[in-house]
Amino acid sequence: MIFSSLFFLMIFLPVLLLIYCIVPEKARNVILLIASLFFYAFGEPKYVLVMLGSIIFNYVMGLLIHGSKYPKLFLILTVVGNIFVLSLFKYTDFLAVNLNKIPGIRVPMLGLALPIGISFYTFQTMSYCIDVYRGKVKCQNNIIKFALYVTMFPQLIAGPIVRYADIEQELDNRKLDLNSLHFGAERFLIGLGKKVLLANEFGKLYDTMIAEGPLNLLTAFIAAVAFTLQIYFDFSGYSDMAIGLGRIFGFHFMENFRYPYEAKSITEFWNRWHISLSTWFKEYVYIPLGGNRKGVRRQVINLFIVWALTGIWHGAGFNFLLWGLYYFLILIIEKFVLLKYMEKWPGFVRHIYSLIIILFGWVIFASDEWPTFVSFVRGFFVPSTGFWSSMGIYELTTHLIILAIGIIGSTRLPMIAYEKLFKIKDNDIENGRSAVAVVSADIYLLIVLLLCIATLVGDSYNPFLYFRF
Amino acid sequence: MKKCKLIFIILLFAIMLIPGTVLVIKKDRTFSDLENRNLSVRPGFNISEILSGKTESDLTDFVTDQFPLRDFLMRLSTEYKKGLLMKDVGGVYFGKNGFVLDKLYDGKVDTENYKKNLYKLAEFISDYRELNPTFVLVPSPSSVLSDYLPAFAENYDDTAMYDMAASIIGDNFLNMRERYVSLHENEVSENVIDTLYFKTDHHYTSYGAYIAYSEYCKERGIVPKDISYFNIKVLSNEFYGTMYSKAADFATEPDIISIPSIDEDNIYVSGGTDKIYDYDAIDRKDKYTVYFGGNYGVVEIKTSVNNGKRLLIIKDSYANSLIPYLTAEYEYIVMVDPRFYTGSIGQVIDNGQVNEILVFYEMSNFINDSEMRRMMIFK
Repeated sequence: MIFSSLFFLMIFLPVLLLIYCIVPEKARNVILLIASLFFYAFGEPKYVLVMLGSIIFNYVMGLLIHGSKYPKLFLILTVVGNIFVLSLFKYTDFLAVNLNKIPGIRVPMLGLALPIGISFYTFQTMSYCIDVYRGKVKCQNNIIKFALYVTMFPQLIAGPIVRYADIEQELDNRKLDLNSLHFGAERFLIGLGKKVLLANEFGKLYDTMIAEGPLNLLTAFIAAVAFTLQIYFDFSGYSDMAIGLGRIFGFHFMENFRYPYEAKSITEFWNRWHISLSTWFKEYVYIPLGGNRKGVRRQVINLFIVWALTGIWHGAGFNFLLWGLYYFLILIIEKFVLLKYMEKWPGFVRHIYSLIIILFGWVIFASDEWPTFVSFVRGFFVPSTGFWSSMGIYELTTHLIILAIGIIGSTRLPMIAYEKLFKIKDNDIENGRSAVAVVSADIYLLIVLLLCIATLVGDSYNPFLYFRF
Repeated sequence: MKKCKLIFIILLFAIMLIPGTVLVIKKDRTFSDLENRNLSVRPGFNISEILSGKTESDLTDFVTDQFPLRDFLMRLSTEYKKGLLMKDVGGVYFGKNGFVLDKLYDGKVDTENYKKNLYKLAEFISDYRELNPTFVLVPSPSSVLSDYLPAFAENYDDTAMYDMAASIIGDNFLNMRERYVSLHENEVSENVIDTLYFKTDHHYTSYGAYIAYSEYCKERGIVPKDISYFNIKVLSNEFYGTMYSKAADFATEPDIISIPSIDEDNIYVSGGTDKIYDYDAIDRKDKYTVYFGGNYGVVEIKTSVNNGKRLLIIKDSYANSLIPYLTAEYEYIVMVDPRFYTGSIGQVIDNGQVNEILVFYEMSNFINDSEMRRMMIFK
């Protein structure tokens, strides 16, 4: 099930909320667990078993790491087991296809579809076991609570990757109150609007630009900008919806995006983009490998490993690997050479530099087929493809307003305007607002909801971008 | 403050719960007039379909298709996009003078498929050379009315397509493009109640069809009857066509649909609805189905003319409105729509003692069609 579907919005969510509010506090974890399993099984009726297997495996491993004499052995078993299952579904066929291209080699294909969300929940269970080993969290004896941590539907299929430590307390004890309900609902609607009203529109624009034929400079640029906006609003919209839903049920998930397109360097971009993933890699791969403590050579190798993994985490494809290594290169250059000089550059130059790098990054990311990539490269760099086309100008003019909304909306400007306009105390959106500020925001968000419903009814274009993650 | 927040939560709950409740209680609507398609209804439940995920996706479709106020919400969604100054929605342009036109850019037409169709047709024509096959492609509305498209919007290059047809089919190809374009440029003429094409539908009007008739007659050496002979009469002025369905809004004006008067009592139709004009269409959404009640595999027409001329038409829906005119020129017409016909074409020719063949399509239909080719493989 996806959040941006009428079935989720109009049937699943209200029914669940009603039940959740009515039942006694003790039963809430069980209700949420059942709902989460239903939510997952709705889209992946068979693969819910894979998830259940993963829950039992990691639950037992947690107990063993905590209580047995050989914690290290069981930790290694956990990591190997998790990575094995993830690789089996995600990378085996990719490897097979490419090995089979070598003459004389015939590797049979498994033909397994990728279970949705497997990369997210595998990373969560691994972080739990590692943290138990490190003594950072207590091992969870209650399998219902552990299962709820893994399956919790708000973040199950598209993140953020929640660390067990972050919600450990809330699994035992959390509140259902008007403030959280209200704040969570607001946040959810912001995310829904980002996904349905913006991301989907940019997705359509991107698809049209690719479908219209070979790209020229203008259409390549429009396509790249469209994808850049689509992936931001889609992904951060999903995170907003997850964080909002989490709040409704009493959980605090970490922020996943902090206006990444405002970054003034690529290093900064990665502190703002998909934060839960980069934090995960830092904590569970980069630092254990030695981070920057073992000399420059080892640091470069560690970074290489992290970014290659980050790349293929997004999908089994050369475009994702290339995208990861692209960022590896740029981050290395920034770290060892460029950042020193960049401090002297004017802010807008650094901003433009970052945006250009990000834009090209998304071109690589979006090119799931070689011809798409070639078309982009030709459009950008080969003058004979032309600088513009009539259709390019048409698409630009017909999308001018939505593009402007997207560009402004990806910065903090709207939030600043809101804070200034309603004189919000300490810029604290949760507690510092006057009644007028709350009511205005709520009316606005109700209109957003109405437009989302109308769009979901009238428009069948509603892709799910994370099925390869 | 607390009150404000509570009201918001209650409102949200209401917005989410009421449609769902209505959805579950109310009877399913099986057909959408607005969209002209069947709607998904509530699925049944059986274990294997639940396990395969079919029930789940059916449920998702059911909720979307049966959503309360669906038609209103669809129109609202279009208006919202128009409010953002988008000039195309749902694959159609909002053109000048109220025309809603297909968004057919180059990437949307399959040139390779078109070529395959032409080569197969060339073979067919040479096989039946003695029956004087004629091949007609009516230009797409968006090609002829390209000056009605929004600024900078481009249509696929149909002149190249016409040239290709002329070079592959040769003398048997009748190029009507110029005639339509020049009529459009000269703003048609007086004593006509229609423009060439519908504003909200993907077909041409009865006047557009008359042009095809008169061009075709000239090609065959027949003197076409004057348009006044057919005494074109209005059928309905409340016609919202297929293009409108793709981006229904609140503002678009309906079309007028009119039909030529013919001697219906002395024309015998067998196949389909057995009628040349199906007047029930007045009450239907798709009023173009007044012609024969829609598209059928094989329909035979016996007219009151006695001149021994017997015609086979291999066609798409554009021919449906042409045929009433042709009933004034032929003794017998058999029309075959390859999309709905699985038999042998040779048999139709033999059974009907056909002595002339017309292959008649609208350009964009023909480009993307594969059924005619399939049919011609099995002679």
